[in-house]
Amino acid sequence: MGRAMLIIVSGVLLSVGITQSGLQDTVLGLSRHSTGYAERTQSSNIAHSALELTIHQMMQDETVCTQDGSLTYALDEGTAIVQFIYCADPADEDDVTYRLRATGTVGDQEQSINVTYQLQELHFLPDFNGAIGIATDDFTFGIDGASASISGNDASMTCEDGPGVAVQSAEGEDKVEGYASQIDGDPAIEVDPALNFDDVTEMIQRLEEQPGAQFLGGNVNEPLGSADNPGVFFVTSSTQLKGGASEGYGILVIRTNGELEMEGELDLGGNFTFNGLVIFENAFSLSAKGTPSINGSMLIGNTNDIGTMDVGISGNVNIQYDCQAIEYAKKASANVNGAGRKYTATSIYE
Amino acid sequence: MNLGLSMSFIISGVLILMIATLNLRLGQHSSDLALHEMSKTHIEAVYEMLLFDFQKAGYDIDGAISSPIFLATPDTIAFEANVEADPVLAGNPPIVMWGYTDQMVPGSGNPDHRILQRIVSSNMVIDTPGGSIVTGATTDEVTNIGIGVTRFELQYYTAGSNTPMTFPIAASDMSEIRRIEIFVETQPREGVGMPGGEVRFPASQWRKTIVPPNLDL
Repeated sequence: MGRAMLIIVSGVLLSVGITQSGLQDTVLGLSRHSTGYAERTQSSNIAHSALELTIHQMMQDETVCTQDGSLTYALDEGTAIVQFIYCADPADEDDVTYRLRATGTVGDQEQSINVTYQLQELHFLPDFNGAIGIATDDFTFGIDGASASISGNDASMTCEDGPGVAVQSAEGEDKVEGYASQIDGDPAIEVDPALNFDDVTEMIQRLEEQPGAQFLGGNVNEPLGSADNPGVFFVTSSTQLKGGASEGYGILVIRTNGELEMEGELDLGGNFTFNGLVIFENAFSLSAKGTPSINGSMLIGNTNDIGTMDVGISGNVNIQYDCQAIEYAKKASANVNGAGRKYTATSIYE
Repeated sequence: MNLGLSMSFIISGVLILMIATLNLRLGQHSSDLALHEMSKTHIEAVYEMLLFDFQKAGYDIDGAISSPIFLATPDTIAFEANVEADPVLAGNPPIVMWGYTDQMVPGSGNPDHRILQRIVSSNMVIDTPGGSIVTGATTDEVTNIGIGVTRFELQYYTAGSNTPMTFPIAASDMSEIRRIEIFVETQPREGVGMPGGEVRFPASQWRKTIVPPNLDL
């Protein structure tokens, strides 16, 4: 009898054991599934992190990117490899493309991301395409001299033509309209409510703090930068450009003296030509004895209540929109900024 | 009769009955689980395909496509994407269209099954905003997914908003789409018989909000 019971109990235990084992397999399967999903997400995350680390390195030193080379990172219990699929040719200025592939591996899960980047010079320039932009309604406008000219037609003929003078409202348009015969552009006078001096102010503040910015005053008798090395120049007091300063490249800011609240002046003589962006901040006094030219764009605005700004152009001043000259301003901004490079992702394959 | 022997038979009888009941329940549970696993496997196959395509909305080799989404309804979406990163198609990416159709799934015992359709074609022309196909894709460009999808729902979001865009979405607002929420439900072809003759179809659901990176470039 005892033997029979023993057999029955053994059978029961065996049956329960098999059932238990089956249940464990199901639980194990569910756990494996969850772990696989987590590892896949993690491998994607570390691939992204590796790309960011690589771009950070490239911003410090672009030679990090070597054709068919790679970098390996150990991140969060996983490994990420960034392969350089294509690196822009430094000898070719127009080649700014970089293609990177990051592969993150965690456990037995692997995720790859292909990203195309474009190298851009880091600048703070506002987006304005025209000859003169007046970002205030509190101004008077006048052109004193039949030889003065303003043109928004792109001199380089590589970009779309812009306005000769852009103003914020119809009120501003009324003030400029009387001089329309001396203004060319598409259109000659444009009302642009989006014209904003806040971006310009922010840019000026940033540039002013950079070690590469130059502050002019008194007599200046040497060129303001060059095509290869354009600069950022601040005029905060009376400044006279002499014969040696026949040309300039980059960004020229004419502003009030912060402490004295007096208008800065730019006295142009001879055949001075400035290529880039000229900004009048809280100030406008432009007198010309010779035939100075500004190729690029000019922005005028105020950041505090200084009363009505008198925008008067006298003499034979030629203000000509030129989108290629604006490139000098961008380069100048990038130069003083130090880092001067940024990699912008233009497409991501994930 | 020996009392001990009788008790042994009673105990073993009870034990056998308990095990039989347990086995029966486990059997039911197992088939339920197996069907659930089956619908989960189906949903995994579907979401792998959805993730693959939706992540690439707006992708092209030389740069992201501007305003790639041109059809966005609660159950259909069409966008441009070079999903296979094919250099031959660079600059002229194909149209990717996902839509939940009214077509029944042949041979399915589940009356709620409908065909989920994926089309990737360079030839297709879609009439918006209606979504009707003006020029059709070739047969090999159409993938009919008949593995048990019972619900397929889409919601669209602009950047920084947690409120879904309201339908119909104007053509001019399509370029504002930054996130797409997908909801998919799958059920097996055959159900589990319940007491009373009712047939139950264990469902698996998957909901995910995808942020296609190229929409934000």
